[in-house]
Amino acid sequence: MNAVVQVEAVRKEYGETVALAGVTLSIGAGEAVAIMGPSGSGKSTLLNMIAGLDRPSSGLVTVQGEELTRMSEGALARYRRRRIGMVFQFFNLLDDLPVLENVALSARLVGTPRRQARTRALELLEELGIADRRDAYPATLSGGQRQRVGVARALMNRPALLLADEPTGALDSRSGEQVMDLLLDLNQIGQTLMLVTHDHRLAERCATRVVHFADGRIAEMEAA
Amino acid sequence: MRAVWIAGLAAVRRRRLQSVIVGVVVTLSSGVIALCLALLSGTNAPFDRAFEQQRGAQVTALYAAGSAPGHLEGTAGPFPVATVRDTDGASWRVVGRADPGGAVDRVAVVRGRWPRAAGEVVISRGRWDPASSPVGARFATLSGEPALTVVGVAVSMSASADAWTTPAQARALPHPAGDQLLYRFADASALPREGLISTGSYQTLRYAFESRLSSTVPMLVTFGGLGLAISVLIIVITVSGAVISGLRAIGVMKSLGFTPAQVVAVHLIMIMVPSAAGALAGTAVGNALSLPMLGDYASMIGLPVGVEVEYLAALATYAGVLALVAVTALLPALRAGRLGAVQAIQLSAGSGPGRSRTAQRRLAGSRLPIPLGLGLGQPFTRPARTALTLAVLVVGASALTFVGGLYLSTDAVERLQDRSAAVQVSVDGNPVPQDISARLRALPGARTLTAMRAADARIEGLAQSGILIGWSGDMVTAGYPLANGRWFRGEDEVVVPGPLLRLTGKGVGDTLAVQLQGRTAELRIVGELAITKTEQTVYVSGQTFLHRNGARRPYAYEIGLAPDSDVSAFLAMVRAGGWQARAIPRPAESDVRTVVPAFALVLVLVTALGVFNVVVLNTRERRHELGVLKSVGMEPRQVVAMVVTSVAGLALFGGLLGLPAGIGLFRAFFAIASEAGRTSYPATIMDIYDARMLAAVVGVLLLTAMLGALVPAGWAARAGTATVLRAE
Ligand SMILES: Nc1ncnc2c1ncn2[C@@H]1O[C@H](COP(=O)(O)OP(=O)(O)OP(=O)(O)O)[C@@H](O)[C@H]1O
Ligand SMILES: [Mg+2]
Repeated sequence: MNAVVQVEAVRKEYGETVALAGVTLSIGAGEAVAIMGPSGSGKSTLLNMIAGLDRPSSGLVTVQGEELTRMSEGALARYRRRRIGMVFQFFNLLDDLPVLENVALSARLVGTPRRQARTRALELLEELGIADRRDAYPATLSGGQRQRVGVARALMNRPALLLADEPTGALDSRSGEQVMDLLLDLNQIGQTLMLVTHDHRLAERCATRVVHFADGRIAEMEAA
Repeated sequence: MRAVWIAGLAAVRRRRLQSVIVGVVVTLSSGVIALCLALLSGTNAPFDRAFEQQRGAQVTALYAAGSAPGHLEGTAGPFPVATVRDTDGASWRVVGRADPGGAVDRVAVVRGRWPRAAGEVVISRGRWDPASSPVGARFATLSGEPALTVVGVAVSMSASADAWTTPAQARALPHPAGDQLLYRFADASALPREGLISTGSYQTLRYAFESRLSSTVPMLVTFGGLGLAISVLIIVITVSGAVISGLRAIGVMKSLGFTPAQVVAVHLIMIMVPSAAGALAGTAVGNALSLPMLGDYASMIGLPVGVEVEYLAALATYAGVLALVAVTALLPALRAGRLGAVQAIQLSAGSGPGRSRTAQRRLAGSRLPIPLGLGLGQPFTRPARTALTLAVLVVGASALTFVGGLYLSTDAVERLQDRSAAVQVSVDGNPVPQDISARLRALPGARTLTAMRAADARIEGLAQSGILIGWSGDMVTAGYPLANGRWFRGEDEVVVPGPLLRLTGKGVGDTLAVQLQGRTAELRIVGELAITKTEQTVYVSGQTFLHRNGARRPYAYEIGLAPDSDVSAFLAMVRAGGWQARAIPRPAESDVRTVVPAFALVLVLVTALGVFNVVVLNTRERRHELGVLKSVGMEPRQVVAMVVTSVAGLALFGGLLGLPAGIGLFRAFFAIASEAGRTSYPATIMDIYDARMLAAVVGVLLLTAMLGALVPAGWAARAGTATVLRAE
């Protein structure tokens, strides 16, 4: 079995709120899965479970054969930097560090030597076409540029799985378009991808499969 | 106005952790402030204040029985005085007084009660030994004297008696000494001369009191000052931090229609409510704690209890702390009131200016592991808070350095005076065999032998009579440290105590006239004896002594033993030979040894509290950044390392800055204390610090800061990530 992600009967409750009401989902290597659904339907919650940023109330999440629910916080952190990359709607870059250091960060956390981490970061920035802004601070970049820095950072440790939560949600349509192309390219060279979006065009263009959420459940699954 | 109150109180509730922290910090700080102020007030002219409070007698006069003048304005007495000998043979001046109060010399009863009936006695605290005569016990007198029972302990600022009893009982005692009159005016020459046996002046008491306090007062002033400084700094850090992190809400408030003045008011309420409660508790607890401490201090230095809660001072402390909090809160709040909503949020998030980022970029991009690089760069984001934190750490480090110096110097002084490896064989008055020196020297374990001779002498510059000591045989310089010069080698050389030099204005190299047996000898001062507080004893070689004073038998021999020898076994052996011998006691342990560790502990705790606050503020403000770091795989232990590093670097820096400050403080303290105590010290005392002590200070500070950071660092490491990453 070559499933990268295996989600089994995952429930998540925040007090009274049921964010996930039993979700089962499997994602194979090289797939690009788009998650869609109304606001509050549990899309981000699911992504956080897979990223190990939050723990399910019940159910299992397995990524590349590793069962997240049993891991300690430290093990989850190590899992995040080895196996996954995350792209956020609002970028979540560190304002006080220049672009290059932001990208190199996750490699430096693994203990990659400084020079090696920078070389890799620079390569990525070059591939994404923003190498000329490597010494700029995030606040001075446009939204599209910032999101490309975000993608570069996510790719830094060659993740098995790229998670993107509304990556174009905060971008104008042209920048959104560019980020979309970027993700598509990545998927075409074999990157497994899971993205949450409200944008039908993005879903249709990028995804090999679209999963529709409603009220914490999978309402419908369609192959793109 | 109502809306402002509601919003303010809602902010107190909503920001519960912050309110608790502000409350706790203000409680502890105002407690320490109250304690320090009490200490400082205790050091303010303690003798004069107690003397006034007890209406002390300037002159204590003793008249032959029946010849005391009648009642004068501003006097008390006459009181019958008798002499009593206790079983040790010590003599006690027992005064008969019906009443401890009155216009002059109000005696403070500190334990038990005043004698009401014959056979009852109250002992002055200065001579009271709680072990041998607790209240209720028999006062052990030599046979032939009536039985006396101890019913209390009392203190007279005029030292007017060793014990008090009823007038009738005093008159009935077998050895009457006369009648005591106590005067409250300075001029003893106005006293009627007839029948006057002796007078005592309060100036002598005052002098003795002050020289006893010569090091205690500057020490407490330093402690109090440092404690105050650090507490004030911590209040400022916490309060301004709380206000600044509250500024995020400003946008919402402004959009709800709050005016700038109302915004300021809401912030003030948010801070003042927990502060008012905290300051009340802290002032109360601090004052309550200061009472037993001041009581101990009073009895240590020989004052009557006389310490009460000074309600006005406590109230002033309370008001002062609140004023400090209000001003500290007002400054950033006023700035916030004027700011636009967006600017306020920026201020609250602490986005640094360009310069601070350069440092952060360099550190994050350095070869250091990334958590350490990020941690070290963190102080640059909030320069003002960092400066305050640094100030706390510098004050902490200099206080620890000062404390370390006190400790080392106390140790050194005790070691310099230590003669516990010596045994004195007293031969005064006993028949002595001719070959005593040879026989003592032959005892197994004896290393050195010094014969000591003493003679009364009139020493130039001394009002009272002095003593000339001559040493022959081996020199006994251990235990007699010199501040200057050297020991005598030749004829007519003299070593004199430091206080005598201060009194006469002479120095090493000058000559000192000493009258012996009616003839004046001009002796050359070659050395200045350190540490000693007496001024009347001077030392010469045995040869000079015999030459100037004529033959005289030694009064004692001092035998120096080999190090690590068994002193008591040696003593037993000497006594078995039929001689009187005693071990030379170690110098009494200084109270520095008990006060200093307590102070150091308080200091370490307060510093840790300051660091704790700063780290709580920083991690709360940076929770978004922490969330990002965790999302890209920063492990909990890396988070802890980063947060702890953010203060460790500061602590190291603060420690290094604090060392010279602390050393300067110690030197100034020592100079003041030795001047006030009219005592000389060897110059080595000033250079008492060694590398180990300095490293220990920096190490303790570093550990303290890391300890203070550890708890909030752990909170930051455990905090959930998903939520902070959602919102922007
Ligand atoms: N940390 C949390 N605490 C409490 N409730 C939460 C938390 N996170 C999510 N929820 C709730 O869980 C439900 C699902 O939230 P989630 O963020 O997953 O929705 P979403 O599908 O991503 O919505 P959107 O499209 O608006 O991003 C919502 O009702 C939300 O309020
Ligand atoms: Mg979402």
